Amino acid sequence: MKKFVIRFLPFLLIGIVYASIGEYFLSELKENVSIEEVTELQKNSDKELYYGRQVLGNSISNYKVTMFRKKQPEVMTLGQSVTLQFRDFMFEPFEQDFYNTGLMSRNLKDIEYVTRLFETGEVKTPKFIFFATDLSLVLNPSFLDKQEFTRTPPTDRATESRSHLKGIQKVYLSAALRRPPEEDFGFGKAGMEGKGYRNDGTYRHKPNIEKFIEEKGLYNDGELSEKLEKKVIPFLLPMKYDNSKEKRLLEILDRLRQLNIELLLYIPPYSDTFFEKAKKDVVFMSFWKEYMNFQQKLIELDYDVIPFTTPGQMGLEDNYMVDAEHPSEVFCAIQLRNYVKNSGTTNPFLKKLTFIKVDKLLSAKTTIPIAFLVDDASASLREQVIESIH
Amino acid sequence: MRFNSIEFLVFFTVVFFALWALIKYKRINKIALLFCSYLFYGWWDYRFLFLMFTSSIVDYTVGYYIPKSQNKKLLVGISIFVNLGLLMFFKYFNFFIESTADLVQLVGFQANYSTLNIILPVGISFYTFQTLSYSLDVYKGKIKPEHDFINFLNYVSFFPQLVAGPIERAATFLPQFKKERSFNYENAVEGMRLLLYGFFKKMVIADNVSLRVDAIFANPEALSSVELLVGSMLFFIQLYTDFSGYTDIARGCAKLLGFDLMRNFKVPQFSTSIPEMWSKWHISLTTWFRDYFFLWLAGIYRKSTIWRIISTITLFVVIGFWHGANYTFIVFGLLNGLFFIPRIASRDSKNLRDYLKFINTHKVINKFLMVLNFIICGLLVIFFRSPNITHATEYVTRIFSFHSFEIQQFTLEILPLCAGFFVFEWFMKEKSHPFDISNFHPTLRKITYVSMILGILLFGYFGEDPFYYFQF
Repeated sequence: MKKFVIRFLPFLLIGIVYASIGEYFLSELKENVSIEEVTELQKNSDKELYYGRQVLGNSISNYKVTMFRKKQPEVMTLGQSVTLQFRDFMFEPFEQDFYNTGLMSRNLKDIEYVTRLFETGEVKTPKFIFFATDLSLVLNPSFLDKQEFTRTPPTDRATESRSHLKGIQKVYLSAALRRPPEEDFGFGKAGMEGKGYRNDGTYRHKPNIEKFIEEKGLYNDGELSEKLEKKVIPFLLPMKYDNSKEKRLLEILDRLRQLNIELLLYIPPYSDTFFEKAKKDVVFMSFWKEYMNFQQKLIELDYDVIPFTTPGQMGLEDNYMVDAEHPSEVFCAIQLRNYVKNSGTTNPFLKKLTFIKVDKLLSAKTTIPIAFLVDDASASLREQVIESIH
Repeated sequence: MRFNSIEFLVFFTVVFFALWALIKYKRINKIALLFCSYLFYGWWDYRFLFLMFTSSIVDYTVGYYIPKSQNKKLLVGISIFVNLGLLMFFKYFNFFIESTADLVQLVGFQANYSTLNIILPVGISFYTFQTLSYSLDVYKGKIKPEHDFINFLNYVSFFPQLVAGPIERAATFLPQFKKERSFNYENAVEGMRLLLYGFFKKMVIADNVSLRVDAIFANPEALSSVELLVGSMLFFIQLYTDFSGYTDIARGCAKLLGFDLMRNFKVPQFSTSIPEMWSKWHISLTTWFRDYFFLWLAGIYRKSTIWRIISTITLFVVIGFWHGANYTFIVFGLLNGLFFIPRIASRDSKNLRDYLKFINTHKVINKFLMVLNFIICGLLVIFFRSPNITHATEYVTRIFSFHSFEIQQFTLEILPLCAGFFVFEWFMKEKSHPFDISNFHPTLRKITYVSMILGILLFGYFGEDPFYYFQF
């Protein structure tokens, strides 16, 4: 036995050395900081810290749920990635009470669960929810419906041995991944470079912004038109409007109302380029007609609704979109501000919003259609924009 | 607990040292092994421990009383009823309900039915067959009943082979729990080699190939005929490396603990015919069915060639169905069975016998048959992999429509790895197992070990993929 163990040890040592070097890289890239620790630091930091793991993966619903439970925000956004550009300062003077839970809840089961958390008092009931009622909530089939992202979020990959082994493999095989970032704005390789989730839960699209400045405002479709044409996710056939899902959604909205939560519903925009193509798609338009009827129904039920639009319908161009389906933070700010100022809403929460910072930023020289460039991580980009003006 | 998990590596390390530390205390050692096996199985779902225990206690009791009983048939009938009953309920209940309802609707009646939400207990197809073989062997007088209950429980639940075999026979396996064991360096090294080779096959080859196979089978209508054909052969490679990888790990673990498990695969990919392939593939299952089902069935009209053909086809339909409750497995078995007809028919025809002998011994034709047989294996496993018959027939139809010859880069990238693996196994095919490198120069051996360890760490798949045969 002794001989066997002694002869086996050198081979075991190879594994130990391999794992130790790999763990060193993960640590240098701050990929191994747990979500628990990241959220704690983000919650208590005055400085903007970005969370973006490029090696281990973000375990996104887990990250958002953890912060949501810790912060128990009074003002929040709820919905998919389309909400991720609604930043804290857009809800001035409630910035401190705000958290963007975008991507925490991705289907009706998730939203029902969140509602139940409020009803049972497990999480403090917020005063206001900005709720993105995007088409996946009434679409059949939706690939997002199978999981429960909020109730059983994925485990934090920083605490999983299997994910570490996968991550170590990646850093060994990619020199680019191993290279430590020159800056340090947060956690994870991407986060350190300023790409990821901010303290308020919103997302900074660093590469898109850089490309936008470099290519002087080109619009990027993000392959959504191709997906529609091929009928792949998110446009899976038969792509029908689901009345039973609509009924469930209306029930949830009613339950939220009964909790005295002020709601602002949001039908997210599409780029003009995409929407013009989509109009020619018979299957899509058949669904779309019913979806727009649903939008009208919400208005008739006396909900505050920011209706569907395209940049063109607002006198803007497609480069106000991050891609075909994601509005930029500037576009989001304009939509929210215009709705509150022009719709004549009686919503007491919305009437308190001041938009002082938003107005100032909208007229700032450094604001470009895709971003306000107010973050610390945008300092060099602001200089580039000013230089290009001169 | 999966073999390809950190939990298992920790578990096995502890078990290895603990069991050898307790080797002098024979009884305690056996109880400790039993505890480890039940812990291993309970890691999946502790509720199914009860099922395994039930199966064990029934066969222990049946075996105990058979020699003394006046009604041996009744006792063996109880064992068959309980074991096959468990299997039927957990594996086939919903299939039979749905099939009956389909049949009723087919003849024009309205069928109202509901299925049950039944979870298939992992390994049930394996351990029920193992315990059943014990009762049948005692009944036939081939073995004496085991009176030591702990030995018997260990025989049924021995964790390295519990969930996906090899299905061991009591005659060769039970005595291993009774005899004195002592640590043997050569055996342990052999065990480590099998472990290393098994993990390499599973994590580097099978799991990486499965990424391509899954993509190809998910969307066959979008791919070329050649890519679909390559995809089917890749699935055959995945199935072989996955399952034989599991068996190697099982045998390796057993060797490290001082036990010997039977060889389950003998490089079946180099067979020249489907019958030869089946004599080298999942040997413990095919010999089980041969001994306990086929010999009885074929023996009814021993001299009839037609009956032998019918029996063989029936045998393969049953083997196919053993894999899963789906018509695809029945068709898979049926098609495999049809390939036995020439061999059986040759019993009555000297010309056919001579012809088969000629093509099997001719050096060039033999190699050609090997390639052809590999392609046929690929085509057959389309039914094994497809979720339903429609999918499988569409897949096959598209291959033979000769629609475009394009292959995606993603698929091409995996081919050198598969080719390298085949070359290695070709040169090792005469060995006691394909990774028997004991005659290599010590330096070359060490280089091989280090390369494989690094290969697993750098290119192994560390996702959640279970072994393919766990679903059976």
